[in-house]
Amino acid sequence: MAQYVNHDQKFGATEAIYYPGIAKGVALTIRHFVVNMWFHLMKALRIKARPGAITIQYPDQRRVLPAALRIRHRIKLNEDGRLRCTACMLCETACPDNCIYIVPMESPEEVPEEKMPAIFEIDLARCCFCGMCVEACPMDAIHMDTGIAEMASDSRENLVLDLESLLKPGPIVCTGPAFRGKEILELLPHLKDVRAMEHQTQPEGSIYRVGKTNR
Amino acid sequence: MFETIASIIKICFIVVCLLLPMAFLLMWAERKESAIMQDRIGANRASVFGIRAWGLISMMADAIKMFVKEDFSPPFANKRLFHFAPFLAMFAVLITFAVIPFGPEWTLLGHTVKLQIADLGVGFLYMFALAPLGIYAIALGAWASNNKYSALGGIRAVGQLISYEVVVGLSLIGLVMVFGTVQLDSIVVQQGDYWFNGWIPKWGVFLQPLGLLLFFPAGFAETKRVPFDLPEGESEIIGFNLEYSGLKFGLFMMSEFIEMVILGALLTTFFFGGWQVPWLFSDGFHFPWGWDFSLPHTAVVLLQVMSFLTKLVFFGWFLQIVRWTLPRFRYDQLIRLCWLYLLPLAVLNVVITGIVILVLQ
Repeated sequence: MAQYVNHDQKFGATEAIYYPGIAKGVALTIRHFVVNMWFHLMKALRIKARPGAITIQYPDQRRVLPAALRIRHRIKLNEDGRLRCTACMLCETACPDNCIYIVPMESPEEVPEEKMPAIFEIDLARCCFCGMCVEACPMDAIHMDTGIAEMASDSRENLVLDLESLLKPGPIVCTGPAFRGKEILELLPHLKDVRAMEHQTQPEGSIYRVGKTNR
Repeated sequence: MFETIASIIKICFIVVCLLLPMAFLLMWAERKESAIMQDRIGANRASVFGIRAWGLISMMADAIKMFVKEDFSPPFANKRLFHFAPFLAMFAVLITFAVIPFGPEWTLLGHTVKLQIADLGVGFLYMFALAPLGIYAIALGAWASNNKYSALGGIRAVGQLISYEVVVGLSLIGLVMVFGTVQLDSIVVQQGDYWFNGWIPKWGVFLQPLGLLLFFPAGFAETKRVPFDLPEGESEIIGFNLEYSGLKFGLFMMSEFIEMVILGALLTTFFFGGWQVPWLFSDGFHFPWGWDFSLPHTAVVLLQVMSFLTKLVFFGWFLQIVRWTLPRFRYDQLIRLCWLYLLPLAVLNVVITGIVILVLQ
C-alpha cells in the first residue's frame, strides 16, 4: 500500500520547539551506544557476550547462503562418472543472454548416450543468473548451486567458464600456507579463521589462495 | 622570566597535549562512535604488525594519506589568499583557547601559576572578537578558489555563521549579567558557590537554563557540524572547501574539530562549572551531608584539571551523538530558526535575567 506524506501537517507544540523531539532522538542513539558499547567491552574483557554489532565482517565471517540461491554454475557427472550433458542445446536455446556456447560431438562407441559436448562455455560476463538453463535441462546436468559468489576477474576472457572449470565446482585448489590443497567447499566452514583470500585465474582453472596472513 | 617560561609551557600543553590530540581523538570518535551508535564496527582494517588498536591505526593512515596527497591549487585561483585561508582558520580556533581557564591557581615552588594562558579582563569579548576570524578564512578560501560552487558555499557559510554569531553572543549576555564580569576565570570561580546549604552548585546551567538551550544550538551552528553543515555538505551541496586538497583541506578539517573542542570548553566554562568539582574546595572535599576529606593542594589542582578534561571529553562525545542523530536543516529553516526563534528568545532571556536581578536586589 502506498504511503502518502501529508505536506499540510502542522507541527504540534512539542515538535515546534524542537528540543523534546531532539531529546527523544538523542536518547535513542545514546541507548544504542551504551548497549553496544557494553557488549564491546564484555568482548574485550573476554567475557562471553553477543557481538556489539550486527554487521557481518565479510572476509572473516560469511553468512550461510540460502539453499535456493542461483549462483556460479557447475555441470554434474552421472553415477558412472560420465558427463550428464548430452549437448541437446536446450540450455543454449533457453538462455536469454546467449551466454552459453556448445559445440556437440559424437560420443565414443561404448557409451549409451549418442552425443556429448566438445566445447561447453558459459560467459559469466553475460550471464544474468536467471536459472533458465537449469530449468531447461532434461538431463539434470547443469546446476547453479556451488555457493561461490566471488567470480570477479580482471579480464573478460577469464570470465568464460570452460567445460573443465564447470565440472569442478568452481575454483577449488587452495594454495595458501594453512589450507594448501584443500577444496574450497570443505574450507567454507573454516573461513571465519581465514584472514585473506586471493583469487587467481589460471589456464587450468581458478585458484583461491587462502592464508592466515592479513595481506 | 618565570612568567614567560610558565606561559610557554602552558601554550605547549594546550596545543600539543590538549587541542591536537583531542581533535585527533574526535576524528577517531567520529568514525567509531557513529559506528557503535548504528550497530556497526567502524574502521578497523588498517594494522601495523597485526595491531589494529580499535581503528586508531586507520586514523594514522588517514593522516599519512593527508600528508602525501597531491596539494592541488586551481589554475586561476588567487594563490596567495588560497594558501592563506586554511592557516587563518587554524589560527582563529587556536587563539580562542587562550582565555579558557583549565585549572585553578597553582602554587608551585613559591610561585603562583594561573592555569590559563591569558587571564584577560575582557576574556569574553576577546573570544567573540577573535573566533569569527574563522568566517574570514572561509570567505577568503571560498572566493580565492575561483569556483562558483565554493563561492556559493562560502556565501552560505558566511550567512549562517554571522547570523548565529549574534545568537552566541546574546545568549551569553544573561550569564555575564548574573556573574557581573566578562573575565572567564572569575566566572568559573563564582561557579564554586552553592545554594540550599551547599546542596546545589551554582553552575551556569542552573542560573541560565534558557541561555544554555540557546547557546548550545548556536554554538553547534558555529562549528559547522551536521544539523548545521550547510557550509560544507560534502555529500551533495559541496561547500567552501571544494577546491582544497591534501594538507590544506586537512587544516580546515582539523580547525573544525578543534572548534568542537572549543565549543565543549565554552559549555564547560560557562554552564558546567569549568574546572570546579562539586563540593571540592581548596582544602579538600566538604560534602553537605557532613563528610570531609582534606586533600593536599597539588591533588586538588590535579583533580580540578582532570574535571575540566573529563567535561571536555564528555562534551566531545555528546556533540558527536547529536551530530550523528539529526539530519541537516534546510537553509530557510536554518535562517528562520536563528532570526525568528533563537534571537528573540535570547533577547527575552536578557530581559528576564535583568528583571530577576533587579527584583533580587
